[in-house]
Amino acid sequence: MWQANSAVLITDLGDELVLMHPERSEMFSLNATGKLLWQQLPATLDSLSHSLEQTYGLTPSQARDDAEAVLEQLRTRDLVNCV
Amino acid sequence: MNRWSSLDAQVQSELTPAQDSELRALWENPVLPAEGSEPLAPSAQAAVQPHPDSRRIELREGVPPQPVGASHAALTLMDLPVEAAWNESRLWLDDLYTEVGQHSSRLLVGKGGASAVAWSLALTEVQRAGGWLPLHAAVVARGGKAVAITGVSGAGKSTATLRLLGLGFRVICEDRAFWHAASGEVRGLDRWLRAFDDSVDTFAPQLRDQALAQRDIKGKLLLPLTPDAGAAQLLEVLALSDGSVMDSAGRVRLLWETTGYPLTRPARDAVQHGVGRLLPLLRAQTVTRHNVLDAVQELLEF
Repeated sequence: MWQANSAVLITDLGDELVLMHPERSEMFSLNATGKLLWQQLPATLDSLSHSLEQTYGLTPSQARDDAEAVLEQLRTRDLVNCV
Repeated sequence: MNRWSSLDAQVQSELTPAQDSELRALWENPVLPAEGSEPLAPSAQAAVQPHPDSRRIELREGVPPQPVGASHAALTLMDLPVEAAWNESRLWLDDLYTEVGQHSSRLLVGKGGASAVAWSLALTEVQRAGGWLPLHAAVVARGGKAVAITGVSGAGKSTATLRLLGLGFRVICEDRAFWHAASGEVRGLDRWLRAFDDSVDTFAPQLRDQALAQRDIKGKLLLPLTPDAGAAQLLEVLALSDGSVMDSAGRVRLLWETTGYPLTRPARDAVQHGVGRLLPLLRAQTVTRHNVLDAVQELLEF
């Protein structure tokens, strides 16, 4: 199960979501795809991949790759974790 | 029990007179002293009374519960350390415990009292949860319209504010502003604009006669402000810098740095919402110390 770091501060710019890690003072911008995933957290990889399939008409394989890529970027910045 | 108001909240204090007086000096809504007089003592102030159904802040002595399952951090404010722990809507700062809520908050302080830093952090968190975005910014107004000026230390904010005061603008605060995201109203909790003698002599010599007899701890003159002379709506936020244009990420970062980072969930929820609402008011192009006065005058005089 993937979940957001509860300390992260979120600013919604409409088509973009800006995440700020308050302890690191680092910012990370999510595009529409990242925003879609973030707003569903906490969620499983299967659930998030399915969401990308449905929203963007991706193949299951493409959707899973994309979801994994976004989650990995977020995880390395301590914005999400997997429990 | 002492009752006073802070922004739109009714404060009910059962603290000792000394503790209560210290908090009121910083957190009670300022009122305009009579012309030519020294500022009123907090106990004599007829501060704006909030609506009977307004937010409530309860202050009293008590035994703060021990933090369990809380996040911990060593924070620093004004170069002073404070041990912080928080969990959802609860906040511990040294020996000060706060339950933070949108409509009601409760602060319990141990017998030994709490530092000014702990009180400041706790009450800022409480005001955040009530929908007020703290802004480290000067706010100047004319009529019911106001402009906030922010910038890093040394950018020229204080000088610009002094010059605007000298030009006859109402200065709502020099750096302790609070913006109400739901209504757009901006208020300040400063009583004075502080300035060194040479700054006053250079930029607003006509104000020197208004300075109080007392000075601040750095020896600065204290020029009385008129923060409670009517509500003001915030039109725009100007960032003092080099005239460059900020991208969206830079604008978001600036606002978070200007408002500070909340700790508890009620405050975080409110500030996240507030920053999103304030962002359209932040001018993308920064102003410089050379054009900030023109920018403010254009906004407030037309």
